[in-house]
Amino acid sequence: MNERAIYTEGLTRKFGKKTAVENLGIEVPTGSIFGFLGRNGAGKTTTIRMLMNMIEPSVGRAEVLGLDPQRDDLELRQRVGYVSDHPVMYDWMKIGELVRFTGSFYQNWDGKKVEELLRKFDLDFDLKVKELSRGMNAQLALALAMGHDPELLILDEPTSGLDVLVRRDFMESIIQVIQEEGRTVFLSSHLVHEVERVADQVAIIEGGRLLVWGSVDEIKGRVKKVLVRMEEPAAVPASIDGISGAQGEGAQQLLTVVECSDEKLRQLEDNGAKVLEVIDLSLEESFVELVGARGGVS
Amino acid sequence: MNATKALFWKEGREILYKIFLGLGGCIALLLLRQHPEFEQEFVRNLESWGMWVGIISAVVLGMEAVATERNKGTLDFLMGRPIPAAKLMLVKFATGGASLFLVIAAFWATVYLFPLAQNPVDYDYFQWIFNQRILTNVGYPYLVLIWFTLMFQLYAFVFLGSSLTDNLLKTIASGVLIVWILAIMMILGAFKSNPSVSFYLTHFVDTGWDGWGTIVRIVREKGLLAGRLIFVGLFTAGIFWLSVLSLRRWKGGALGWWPILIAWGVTGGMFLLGGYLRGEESFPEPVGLWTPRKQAERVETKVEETSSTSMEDMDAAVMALMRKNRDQGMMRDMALQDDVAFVALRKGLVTIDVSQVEEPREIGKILAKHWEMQKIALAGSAAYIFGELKRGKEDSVGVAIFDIEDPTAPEMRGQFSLDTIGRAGSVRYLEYLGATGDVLYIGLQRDFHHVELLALDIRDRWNPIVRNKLVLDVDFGQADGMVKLSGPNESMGFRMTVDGHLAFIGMETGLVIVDLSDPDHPEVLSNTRLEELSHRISGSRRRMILVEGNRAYVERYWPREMVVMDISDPRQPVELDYIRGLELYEQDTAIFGESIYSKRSWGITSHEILDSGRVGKVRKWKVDTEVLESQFMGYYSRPGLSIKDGFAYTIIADYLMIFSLDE
Repeated sequence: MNERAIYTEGLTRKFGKKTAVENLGIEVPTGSIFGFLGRNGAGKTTTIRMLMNMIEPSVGRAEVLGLDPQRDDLELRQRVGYVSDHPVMYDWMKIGELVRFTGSFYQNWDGKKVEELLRKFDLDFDLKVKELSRGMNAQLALALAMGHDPELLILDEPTSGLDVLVRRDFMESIIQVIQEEGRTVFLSSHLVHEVERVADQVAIIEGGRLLVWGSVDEIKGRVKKVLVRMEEPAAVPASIDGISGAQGEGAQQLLTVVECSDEKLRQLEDNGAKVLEVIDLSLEESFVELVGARGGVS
Repeated sequence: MNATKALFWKEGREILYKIFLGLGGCIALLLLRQHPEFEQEFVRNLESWGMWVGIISAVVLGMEAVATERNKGTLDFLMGRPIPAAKLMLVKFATGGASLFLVIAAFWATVYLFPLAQNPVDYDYFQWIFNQRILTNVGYPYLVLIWFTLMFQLYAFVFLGSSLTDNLLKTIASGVLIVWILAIMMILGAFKSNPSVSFYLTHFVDTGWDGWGTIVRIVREKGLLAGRLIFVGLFTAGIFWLSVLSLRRWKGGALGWWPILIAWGVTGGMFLLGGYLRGEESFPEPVGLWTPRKQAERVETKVEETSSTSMEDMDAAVMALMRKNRDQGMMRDMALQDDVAFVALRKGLVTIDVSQVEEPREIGKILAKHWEMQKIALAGSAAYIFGELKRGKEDSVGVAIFDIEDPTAPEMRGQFSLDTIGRAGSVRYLEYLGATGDVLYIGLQRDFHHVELLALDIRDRWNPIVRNKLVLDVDFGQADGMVKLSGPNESMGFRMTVDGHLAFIGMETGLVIVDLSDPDHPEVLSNTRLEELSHRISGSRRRMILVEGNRAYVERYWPREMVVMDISDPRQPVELDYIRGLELYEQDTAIFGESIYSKRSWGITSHEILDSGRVGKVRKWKVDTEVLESQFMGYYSRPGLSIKDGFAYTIIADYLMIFSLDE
């Protein structure tokens, strides 16, 4: 078995003059749940479509389950389950028909398993696809993606467009599926708190470029809030690298420090800022700060 | 259910309503046809209705194939599955193609099962005949096949457009665009520059629904039909493969509006540029020999009796023309001997020196009292002009005989009236007049039942003696001549030509060859029936005959073509091949070199005959409309066409015209 389920190297995709994904290099360990975070339009879907050979990279290469997506796309699809950001299915079909139709394309289709999942999601086989709510539609797509027992499940913004309650239910569905199977999951989302609940590793992409990649704890540790008291009321020295923002006026200020380290804290002290407290951030807060530092989000 | 079946099931379900719509449309048409006025319109435009049904079906079935799935997002659903793009597209392509076949088959089934109503109005009657002739001779399965193979190509284009785009409007815009580009390429002559390619395109891409009977030729000729099927198969396979490639290349994406609009702009530009480059249809002119001004000057200064017709604007390849005084009657026919053109006027004979083709010069003239001349034949120092002898109640037809030993002073030396053989009264018109050695042949259409070839002994140039009457009697038992031939039991026409001692007669049944070497005992050597793929429908038709060496070119009525026959053994003529695309006219025709020249009312045309037997380059020499319209041309005559030293001489609209045949 491959140690890495997904590997990309210099993966780039351009649409005309616009670069959607630039020089992306990530590695998703087999068996992990990998959160692929980024704002809308950051390049997540383009990356996934390249992984699924639904578009071709302009430059670079990708490897999925040890396969070349372009060369081995049929085998890849036999082994990968994919749910797109807005799964659209044949609305004139009944769920049962759609399941049989989809199953016909896979060598190891497990109809019973799909049936079980659908029952779990409370989806009736006789319902027509067009009669489903968005949440049910997403659940159906998930069930269909699981039908061939994929080694890798790629979920592209699976909760996109769902309201809060449905989203929570659907995430529960995903968690159930993931927990039961123990397979590699590549989960793309712009909703950080959802990913934080399930992901082992996270990569954050912004403007098509990879900002950061590591475990959730590592990423959370990369950005901290530092409460300082200045000896003299003055601006935070600009010479200290990694300070992406400052809140408060007067002597006490709350600084946001990217790539916070003892060295940076010592630099602050040397510049007349007494460190009162170092505050850990959630993944979402780290995400906002990291992306903000890169893309101007405050 | 395996993957292929599943895909067919899905495509079938999705396309089903379109099939029902198509079939419903055919039934609706059938119901509408019950209304006499609509039926009349339907019969009048049957081909157009077939085209519309086919085109609409091809576009509707092709345009949604991929674009709609891409637009809705279901294409992603499919592309995320382990389905080869080629299989996915093939199922779509085949399902749409089969549906197209069904609708086309249904349309023609209604036409065959519920025959076209015959309308007594003349125009519609002939249109009914025309349609019926095709329907009868082609047959339902073949007609469906022909129509389908045409529409399948359009469908393939639209399918390709659909694979490039993500909405129907773009599909139609891009699909139609591709067809446009091809059409323009054809207009520009990219394909048609090669006559053989052009020939095959006509037979492979067209419906063949034309007056030439091309469709009949396609289905009857196994090679053509197989060629068509192979061509369409390969062509659509190529288009299909482009669709697959486009899906692979632009899986999720699609052609935007800008490329389509730009392509349309470029295409429009090409079209306009093509039109500009092609310009008006041009006709060859005699380089360096004639200009309108020179001609006008010549006409004004030298031919004083010329009418007031303006020559300034005459834009035709007329090198020389000479208008005769109306008092002497219009020009009826001409024959060429050495450098002198002998022109039969209505009232006499005029001789014109054509040694300087730019400057024809009248050198002699004689009027013949009471005669109205029609056709001229030369035999050495004698000119024989067939005509009517107008003497009140004693009107007759016959031959006026002129001594042309000295062309500057032609002299009438005698006349021969057909009354002498008791036939003048029943002559309908002259079919042929020609002299071979010491025999003058006169082919006459007498009445609706008899045609006659007279052989006159002209050893004594001025006193012809009837040597023989070859009577072709179309009604059994009513022959009064020496040779009887059976023919169809209705009116007939014929064309004939004499070559050496053989007479070639194009009868309605086929080709008759008569040995005239012993004028006293003409012998019918062969009577070869020409297979007609359709019954003759209206009126009598002359069957065009041309003879050159060991080849006879005989007109087939339908499909319209010239049958090439080997006549090296006149007792057993053998059908070798056929030439299609020849425009056949009742007026005079001649073979010169590799081309067949036809005299038309507006000029002459030539059709190059390739070694393959196909028609190659077609050339036209056209006389300016103003000149043509200035003259009365209603008189029935077939002025001769003579070709000599690269020049064609004939009479058009009361002008002697000389055309340079050089490139």
